[in-house]
Amino acid sequence: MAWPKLTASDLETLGRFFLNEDVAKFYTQAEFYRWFSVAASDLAEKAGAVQLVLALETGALVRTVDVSALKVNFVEYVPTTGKPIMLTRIDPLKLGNFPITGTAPQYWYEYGSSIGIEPLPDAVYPIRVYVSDTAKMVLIADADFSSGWSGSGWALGDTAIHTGASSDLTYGTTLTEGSSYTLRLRITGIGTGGTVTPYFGSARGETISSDGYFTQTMTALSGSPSLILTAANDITIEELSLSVEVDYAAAGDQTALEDAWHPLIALFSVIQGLTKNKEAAPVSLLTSMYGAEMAYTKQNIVDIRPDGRDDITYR
Amino acid sequence: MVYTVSVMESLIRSDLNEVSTTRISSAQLQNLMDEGYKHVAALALCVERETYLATTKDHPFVKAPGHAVTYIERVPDSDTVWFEDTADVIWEDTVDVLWEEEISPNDFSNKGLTCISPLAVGYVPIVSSGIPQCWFQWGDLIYIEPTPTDRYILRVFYSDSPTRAMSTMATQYPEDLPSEFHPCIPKYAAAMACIRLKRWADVAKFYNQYISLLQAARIAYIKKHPDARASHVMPDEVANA
Repeated sequence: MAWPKLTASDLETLGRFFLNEDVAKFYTQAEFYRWFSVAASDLAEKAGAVQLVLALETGALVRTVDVSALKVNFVEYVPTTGKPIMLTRIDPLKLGNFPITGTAPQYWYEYGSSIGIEPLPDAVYPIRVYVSDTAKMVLIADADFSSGWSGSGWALGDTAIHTGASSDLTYGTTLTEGSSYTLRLRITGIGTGGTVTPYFGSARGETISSDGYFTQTMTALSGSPSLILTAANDITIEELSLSVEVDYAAAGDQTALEDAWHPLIALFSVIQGLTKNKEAAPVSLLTSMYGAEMAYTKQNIVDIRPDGRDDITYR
Repeated sequence: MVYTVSVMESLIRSDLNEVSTTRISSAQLQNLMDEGYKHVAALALCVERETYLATTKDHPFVKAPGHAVTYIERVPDSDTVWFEDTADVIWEDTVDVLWEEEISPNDFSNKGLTCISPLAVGYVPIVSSGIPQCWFQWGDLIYIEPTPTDRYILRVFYSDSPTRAMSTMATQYPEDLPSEFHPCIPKYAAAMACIRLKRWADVAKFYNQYISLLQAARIAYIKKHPDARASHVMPDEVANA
């Protein structure tokens, strides 16, 4: 078995062990894969198991910013100079009724698949959005650029190093049009005027122009779209990971969920299997185990428990 | 007692009264024990590790290791700290080179950073501009407040998964878990095996035993209970005696 994360094959082996059907007969592989997909979604939705920070921008004279995620938890305004600040969550009723100082973002609300910014942005302002997202499938866990990637002006190995005039780094595997992707980059060695902009086909991501970790979620557009990173001047991509919103479909598929959640995916499939076999009492037992473990794991690795002032006071 | 794979298999088979390998093979039990090994680590946060991470200049995020970060200490690294030169004409002076500097502990002392709610970002009173003071974890990133204005070294305390499966080790022993958690593994495996055997009452029994053992060990060995200053003070009745 893979360690510590489990592949679809590992999960099926576990699920079949529990259901005492080591070789497919009453339970098909397709059923197991569907149950794993439902379980991963369930954990993402109920426990907020996938936490991302998206780097976005407001539009000038545009109230809303589209956010592709399950739930927006916090919004942070990142001024060009001065310290970043978390904005206050409001509802649309408060628009124009709350005190406003200056023109920079101060409040936000979530409505549908976008967030609204108050006051109405008079210019483009950078923001960071802290979201809970869907459980996507890992496509690239940690890119090795020496194979499967190409680009003139790039030195490719464990890292991708760009120098000189603007040029593209292209991922050789075609993306699926209409699918939602999450790209995570760690950028180092940004030189003067250094930038990198990801493209998912014709869908353009946000331009990155500083060192650090950056996550962007995008839907790939246009037929046979490619992942292209267009860079200018000095820049190093130290790490790159890519995941896509698809269901379990092959033995090697692995969810981007942290490994602590994987046993619950297997357990969920057992609950579904027993449900199919009309075993109501054990379904009830295992469902309560599943719910309790989800809550416990959420407390351990998702919830934030801030320290109090008393915790650092000698008294 | 040393909880090797073979010892744990004996314990499980004894618990289940299942001596024969016909219904559950040794390989299948070993799989369950490996799953139990990870499960205990995830629920008890008992694989405690430490590492040193560096902040990025003018960027608030550091990649978080393991399952969950529990504490962070700002470290001058034995009274030595690295500074990255900036584009000016004054200092060392090669831009982007890291310079190792001896410093006085008084100038830049160790400090445990405070975990804050994300909502506190921008509202925390900053003692020294640009020097890490607070943090919170979001997914696999640690947010540092205030945004570091240089490269700082952080000592990060975190809980992790075991490094590898017991089945791949020569010792066949859950070496990453503190020994007080070893008895949890066979109880977990027994509970899971009972699902296959459709012994539902035993599933509940062994699972409850597993959680009881795990919680007791977590409270006794993993949860930190700092003493209060007052605990060193003599009670009035004794002091006046």
